[in-house]
Amino acid sequence: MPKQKSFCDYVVDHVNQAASLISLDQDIRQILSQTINEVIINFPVKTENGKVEMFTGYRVQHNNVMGPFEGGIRFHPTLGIEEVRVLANCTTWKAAIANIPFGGASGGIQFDPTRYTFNDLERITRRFTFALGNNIGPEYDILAPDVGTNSQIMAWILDTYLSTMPPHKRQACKHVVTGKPIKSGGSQGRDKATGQGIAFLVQKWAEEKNFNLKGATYIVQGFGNVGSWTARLLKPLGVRLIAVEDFTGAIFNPEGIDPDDLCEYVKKNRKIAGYAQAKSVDHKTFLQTRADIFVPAALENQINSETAPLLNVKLVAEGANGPTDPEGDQILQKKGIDLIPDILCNSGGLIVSYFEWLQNKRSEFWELEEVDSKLHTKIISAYNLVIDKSKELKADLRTAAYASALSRLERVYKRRGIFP
Amino acid sequence: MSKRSTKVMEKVSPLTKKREYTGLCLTCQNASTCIYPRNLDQPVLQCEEFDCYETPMERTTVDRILAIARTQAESGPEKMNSLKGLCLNCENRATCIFPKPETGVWRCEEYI
Repeated sequence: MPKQKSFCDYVVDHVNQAASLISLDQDIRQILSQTINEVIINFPVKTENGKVEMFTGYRVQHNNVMGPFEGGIRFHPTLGIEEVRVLANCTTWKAAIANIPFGGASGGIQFDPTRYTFNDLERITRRFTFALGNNIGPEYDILAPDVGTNSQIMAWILDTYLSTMPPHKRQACKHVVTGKPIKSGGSQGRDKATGQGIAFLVQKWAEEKNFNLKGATYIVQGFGNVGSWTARLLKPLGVRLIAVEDFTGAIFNPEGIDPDDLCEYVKKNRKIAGYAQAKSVDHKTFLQTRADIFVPAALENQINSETAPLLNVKLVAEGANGPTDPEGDQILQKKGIDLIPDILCNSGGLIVSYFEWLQNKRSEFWELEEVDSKLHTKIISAYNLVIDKSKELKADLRTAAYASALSRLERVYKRRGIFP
Repeated sequence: MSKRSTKVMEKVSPLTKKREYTGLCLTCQNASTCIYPRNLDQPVLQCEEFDCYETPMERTTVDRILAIARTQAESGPEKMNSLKGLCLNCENRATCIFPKPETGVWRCEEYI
């Protein structure tokens, strides 16, 4: 039996498909198919119990033709170089579509953070940052939170990096990290950014299709940061949430579920199961729910050959990364279901990370309204770009999104040429 | 089984009778109760519901808060609130038995 394709394989397939469609210059295709730098660091840390342990850390820098490398730091026991390469790749495409002057990078440490104490985590993070040395920098490679890391980890990275700088340069280096706590230089609106971007795109889609969102219905898979914020931000548009699924099960109420109330419930109970204002339904029933919009905001490969035929919606707005596999994509197209692809749909987080970087660089602090307004401008222009590309190439939006990214990178390379 | 299946596939080790998750699920606190269809041949790399509810950081913070709360309950909040100098944020402050001057402690080899 042939090995089933993974999320990483699908990304490579999408890029190749788009590259062929736009007849991407072979030289540039060759450049983009490889990462620029791959740093693997084995470093020792003396843990709280006095023992010395060796850790392996990675930083993969895929491409920086658009601007400094930018990407997450992941702490996980299964982290490997292959995975880090693909995650770095994805950031390059996402930034290029959104027209953000960032390149793509990713990295992390292969270990289980839940098995270490608070003090050990700090030591491991700081030692890794120190070992990265000049491989990172505010104008060279910017780090952001990802799986297993948070604003506290970012604050330690920042502090360690600044400690290696001469005192008079420290204030000018705060933007080596994004996703910081607001009081340490983080941006307003970063928390809700991905959900806000999705809400803006759903609004834009409705405008284009002449579809009235007031009274329309939607269902959400996943009620973490992305799912819950999307649900809460769609509510003021008059759209009615009728079904939600998380890792514990699905709930349904045709009269509507209040996302704010559900958020309060989830905050207390850490799950949606047992929410009294809706009835419990199974996975299949959830997917079959007749609604106007479906926001998958959980994990990869949820819309596939077996589940795509069940969907009964007009639009799929991909909040998660890679929720639809290629077979699922084809089925949705045949059924006439519109799709806003992940690489565009969930780019709000990356865009606001860029805003945070920009604010630090300029020593500015933007109000939430300003962040939202700039996010709207950026994400809608990215949407328009993808729609235009889709019409030009007669391709689906996912292929058009990758094609837009590749075209933009190709233009930059062609203008700059290849040294020497 | 030639056709791809999306049913929840959880490898069960014959020795331990435990599910063997890979990818993000390996350390996710929700893994054992998660209902999302996953294929263990392809470990999950991206999940918006990956659980970090109780990271060691939060646990440690909670432990400290509880220790301080216990001491406050035993010795009265006035004692804790009156801490000065290094004791103010020392991790040992809840259990420290050293006598402290009213002006605060400014040098201490046991300060953490």
